[in-house]
Amino acid sequence: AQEVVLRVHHFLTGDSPLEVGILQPWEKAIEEQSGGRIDIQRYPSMQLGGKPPQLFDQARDGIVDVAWTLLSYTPGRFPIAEVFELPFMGGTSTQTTMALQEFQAKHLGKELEQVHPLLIHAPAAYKIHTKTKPVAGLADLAGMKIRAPSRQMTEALNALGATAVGMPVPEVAQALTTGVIDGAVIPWEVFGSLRIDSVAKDHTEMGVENGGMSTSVFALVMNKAKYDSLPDDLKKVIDDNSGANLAPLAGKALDDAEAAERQKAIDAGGTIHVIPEADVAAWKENTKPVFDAWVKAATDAGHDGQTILNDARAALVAAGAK
Amino acid sequence: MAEPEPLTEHAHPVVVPHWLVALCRWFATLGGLVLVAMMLMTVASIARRSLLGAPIPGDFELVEIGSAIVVSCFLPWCQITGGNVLVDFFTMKAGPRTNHALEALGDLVFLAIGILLTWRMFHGASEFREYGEQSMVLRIPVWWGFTVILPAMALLIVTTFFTMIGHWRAAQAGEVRA
Amino acid sequence: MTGIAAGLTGFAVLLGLMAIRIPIAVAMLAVGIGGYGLVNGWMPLLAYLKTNTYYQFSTYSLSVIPLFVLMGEFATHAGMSRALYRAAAAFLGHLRGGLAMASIGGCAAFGAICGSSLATAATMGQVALPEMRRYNYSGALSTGSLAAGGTLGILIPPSVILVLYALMAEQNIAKMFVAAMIPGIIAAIGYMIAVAVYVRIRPGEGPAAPAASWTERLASLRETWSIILIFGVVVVGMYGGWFTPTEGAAVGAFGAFVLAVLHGGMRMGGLITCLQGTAKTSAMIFLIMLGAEMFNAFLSATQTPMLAATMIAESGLSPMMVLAAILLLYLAMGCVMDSMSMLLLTIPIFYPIIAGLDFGMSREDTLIWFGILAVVVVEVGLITPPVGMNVFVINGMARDVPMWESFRGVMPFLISDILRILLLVAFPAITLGLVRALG
Ligand code: NA
Ligand code: NA
Repeated sequence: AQEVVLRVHHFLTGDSPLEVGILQPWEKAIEEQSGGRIDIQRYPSMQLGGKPPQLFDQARDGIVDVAWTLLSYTPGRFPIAEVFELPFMGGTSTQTTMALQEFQAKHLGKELEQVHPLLIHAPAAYKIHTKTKPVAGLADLAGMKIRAPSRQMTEALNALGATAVGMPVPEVAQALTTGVIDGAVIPWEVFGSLRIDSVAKDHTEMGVENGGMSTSVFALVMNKAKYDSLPDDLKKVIDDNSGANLAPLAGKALDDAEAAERQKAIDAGGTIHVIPEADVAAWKENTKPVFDAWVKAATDAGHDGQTILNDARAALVAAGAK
Repeated sequence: MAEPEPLTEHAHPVVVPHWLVALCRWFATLGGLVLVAMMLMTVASIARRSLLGAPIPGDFELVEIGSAIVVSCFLPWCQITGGNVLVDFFTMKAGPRTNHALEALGDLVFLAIGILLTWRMFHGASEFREYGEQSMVLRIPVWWGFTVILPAMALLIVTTFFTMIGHWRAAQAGEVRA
Repeated sequence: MTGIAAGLTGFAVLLGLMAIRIPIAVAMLAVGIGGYGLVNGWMPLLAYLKTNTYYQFSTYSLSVIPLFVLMGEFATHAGMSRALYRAAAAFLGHLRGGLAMASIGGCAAFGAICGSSLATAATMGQVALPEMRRYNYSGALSTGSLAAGGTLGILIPPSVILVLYALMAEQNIAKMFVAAMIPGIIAAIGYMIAVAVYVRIRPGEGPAAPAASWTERLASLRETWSIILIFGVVVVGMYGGWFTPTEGAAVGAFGAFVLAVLHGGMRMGGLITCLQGTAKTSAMIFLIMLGAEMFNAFLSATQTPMLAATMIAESGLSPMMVLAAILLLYLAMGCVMDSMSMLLLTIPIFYPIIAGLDFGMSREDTLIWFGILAVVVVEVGLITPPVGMNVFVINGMARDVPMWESFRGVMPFLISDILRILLLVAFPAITLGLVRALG
């Protein structure tokens, strides 16, 4: 019989890839493996109240049992995890997610100590999607108004000659339609649900097909006391379905979602522009000050900024090789 | 605006100290000026975007921070001028004494809620400060806004206390102030 | 207590508190906070309240509301109501009941830069009421036409209530505005027809005024261009090309500010008066929103909205019957309750139900159509007895007219409202046509 109810709260819709590809299979596995003793209740679209930046604290404070959120929704709060938001860091969802597992064990313990992390993961790296004109080279980007997903990307876009606009995700579609922005750095998988597909027709990828600009760090976190209160056998069920055990499923789900949305955009007449690998060097050179600033800020805050950056890069390379 | 005082669906006018009215008016004006600043900043940002191709950096987050300050500063003025709508229908015939007593009760409930919200907001502000949360583009510390928001909330509490006393006295005296 | 029982108990307590004059926002906050604590636990409640107020007040999309309120205040101060009324009266005044028709027309035009019904009724009343009384219009017709005309303020965009609906039902604000245009124009025409029928039956209540010459008519039009300009920039700019709704509201407020300074002679004192008016209205709205958010978070925690939606989907009721039931409930509630509170309280429950029903349209079309219907119906509540805010406001300005006479005066307009609601329900294309045409 059911002993434990876990209420899962997030801001995406009930038909988003997160729900369909990750949370629903995860719910099924846990309910089956616990013999029905754990009952997972999903509350998409912020149904339990509040705004997206509150989600992390909702899980920490036990307002909900589990929350899914973006760490970049509270800028300044997770400075070390921010290293993955630096330009050109992210790869496929699987690659970045696997790299994050190793990185989390090494460096994120302190930032996540207030919760029981179930899964730290990432989407496939974000591309630039534009409406007014295609971006086929660095020169095209000059002066364009581009929505940035994080503060690292804000600085990167400015360093690349664009004008970064900080804007909540729900505003993006309308802002594109109305010309408030010329383009946006966003993940493919929210394309359809945000109705951006009908507006932005040019898509810029970096270096290789599907190479991206940047990524964000997603977190599925559980209330600590709730986790501690579980009997050992139920803890084991949760453990068997979190962290490195859940990461491959999450990586595949978001890569599949990206591939599907990308294909849909191409079928609908969208054009993909791939910046040649040789040209990407110039992009990277331009954004070097952003890396330097991040390392300096982390070092000033008492962390070993350079080591953290090197470890993040090494983890990404190692995950990419697999 | 020369809008006449609506006859119903609002609290009855009640006697409160003059200094309190002045203080609430100052806060409302301060909030209003912040709103005007938001308006001008947004118009300037649109103009810059149209003419120079680049908006004012962080225009969206400035509106967000400004908005929280504006609304908080407006709350005491709304309370002291009896601006919160209520359902008048079921108590219309009950007479001014009963109505003042009921409005005193409403203020008591609001007073308790105001104290609760302000106490919790204080803790929220402390956490914003402790965790170093900032706006995305301009990196403005989120807790800065609370240096105006918390005093405004405190004023709301004081105001609700005095309107409650005013209603209570009016109910005792049975006076009718149209 | 579990699930739907807890939700229904919460509703009962809420209605009880509202019945004894507890302000609506305070009642929603009290029940929301108490219910949330009981259902979710008190420690989680205390944690929830730490940042909830801040995030509710600092939401970008909601900042459009104080800006639209400010725009209305400036527009009022600019004295544009006078110019608009003069223009309408120059063209219509010579007809029987023509000054009442001009009141309707003036209200519709003023509604194009003012988002609030009360403000529209009150400002137009200051200009139109003395004129109508001067030409011996009856108390019933003069107050009735203004009270009804004021309701055009929330139908003709921009409109604070449409903004709130769009945000709650996750619809595009600009599309909601465009969808409201044709129903708004139909409303104005319907009201004018109501006046025409009324004075045919009772000719003594609205005698014809002297006709204006064409020179006077054209001259009167010249003063109204600024309103047309602001309306055009705000609505066209928002829909077609230049800015977000918040930016549109800022541009509109700025335009009205310039008008108030140049045309209305606004100086520091006038500015402060406008700011205080904005403060009162905006704070009232945001407090209700905070209360509704808290109450709806409590309801969601009891799973009432999901269970209710499932029950209705499985009940076998036809979609039209569900829609009719909801609209009738709004009409009934509107008799005694404030329209904005009503929408904020019920839309989070009703919109998933409506979205789940098949009216033979896309989900988006269904929600836009329902939104316009809901706004039209709650707007009727502003002129229905016993509590009709617009009637109270206008009646308060005409001290010599008894309240019952004002309520008698709005009856023809209520009939026009009912016919219009039936029309909008029967033909969704009236609402959706322009949205579809503009893509
Ligand atoms: Na309007
Ligand atoms: Na009514």
